[in-house]
Amino acid sequence: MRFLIISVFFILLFPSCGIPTIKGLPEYNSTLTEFSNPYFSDINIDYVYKAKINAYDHVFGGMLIIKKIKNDNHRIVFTTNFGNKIFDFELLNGDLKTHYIMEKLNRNIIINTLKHDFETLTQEHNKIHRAFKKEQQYLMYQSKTKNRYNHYIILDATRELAEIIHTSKTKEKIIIKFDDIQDSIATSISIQHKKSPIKIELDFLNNN
Amino acid sequence: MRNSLILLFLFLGCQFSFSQEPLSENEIKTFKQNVIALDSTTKTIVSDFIQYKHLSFLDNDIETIGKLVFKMPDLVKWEYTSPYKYSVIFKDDKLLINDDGDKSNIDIGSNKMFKSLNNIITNSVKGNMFNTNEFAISYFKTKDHFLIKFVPKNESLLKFIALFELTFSKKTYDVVAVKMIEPSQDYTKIVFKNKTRNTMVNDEVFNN
Repeated sequence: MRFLIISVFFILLFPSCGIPTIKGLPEYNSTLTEFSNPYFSDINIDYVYKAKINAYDHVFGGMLIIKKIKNDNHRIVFTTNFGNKIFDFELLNGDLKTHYIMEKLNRNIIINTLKHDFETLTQEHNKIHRAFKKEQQYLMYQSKTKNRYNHYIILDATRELAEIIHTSKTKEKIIIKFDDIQDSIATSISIQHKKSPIKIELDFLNNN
Repeated sequence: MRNSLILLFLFLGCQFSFSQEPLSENEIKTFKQNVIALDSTTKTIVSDFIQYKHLSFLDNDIETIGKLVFKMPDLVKWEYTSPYKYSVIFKDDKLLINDDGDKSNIDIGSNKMFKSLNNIITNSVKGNMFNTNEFAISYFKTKDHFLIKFVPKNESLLKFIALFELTFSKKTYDVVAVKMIEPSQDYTKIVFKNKTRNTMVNDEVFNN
């Protein structure tokens, strides 16, 4: 009997255990069906960033280079400051091809983590699943990606993308913040993992 | 007909000026003697440099500017000044890193790969890389330069550097450029400018 009560209690509780990102936010009917992430969408720009990766108390400095090759296709390379490649990935229609990765980093768990980060960062065309208002000045578009969700937080006044929150069905996984936007380029980006001690900070270097 | 001949001459002229001719045994001997003679009188080297990172998918090479300081027997400092600040000092089997104010040390004493890289860097700065079993070496000349190619014999080094090329001035026997070519054919090229030898260099330069 006691077990039954506990079970019923959990079942009643379950509907409120959704994604914390949208909890309590008023939903509205958006006329938009798709949201385009503008920051890595220009095929004519070499997106070169000075990068600092803080992972499990280790700091790696270097350059992160992102290039749109064609629609749904980005090349992502991380090098040391000397120019030696640490990894060289290609994202194509949601699949990741590894052109090169240093032997020490060649582990599925690391590659999958980086895939989620860069897919969230660069995915350009995103179908809007639900739309919310957040505080007074922001809109939030929720987009489904396989078993996960991306939440695009937009400044209502300027329609500037300020943040992406990548979640599972119940938890926030990655928070990407874009600052100091100049000519559709986010010159300062931070990628923070919620569940593991990983933080990536990017500062744009002009290479065009 | 006359136009065709002019075109033919122009074509041959271009071919000739860019062609690489292998050095004869005697030329190799003379070349090595001159480089070793220059090296044996070198106590310090100070030089500006421009680093070009070439990635096949980018529109432009990534340019980084910096300064190199070398002091006998094996103190080396690479300092990038633009577009970011980053320096590495090779000292007492250690790498002393300063990433825009964030300082760290890496002990390379036990790391064979780093030791090997350190030797390559030190010797390529001086130009004297011939007394080694680590590379298969071939010698060429162009109109103004000697071009020496080093193919690593070490399998783990080969995975990320397929070939080193050192370019020497025919007049001064000084290294004017270093090129590290990856197995993918992407490369890092460092071109030295305003190089001076045997100027006064204080040991404090190599403190982090």
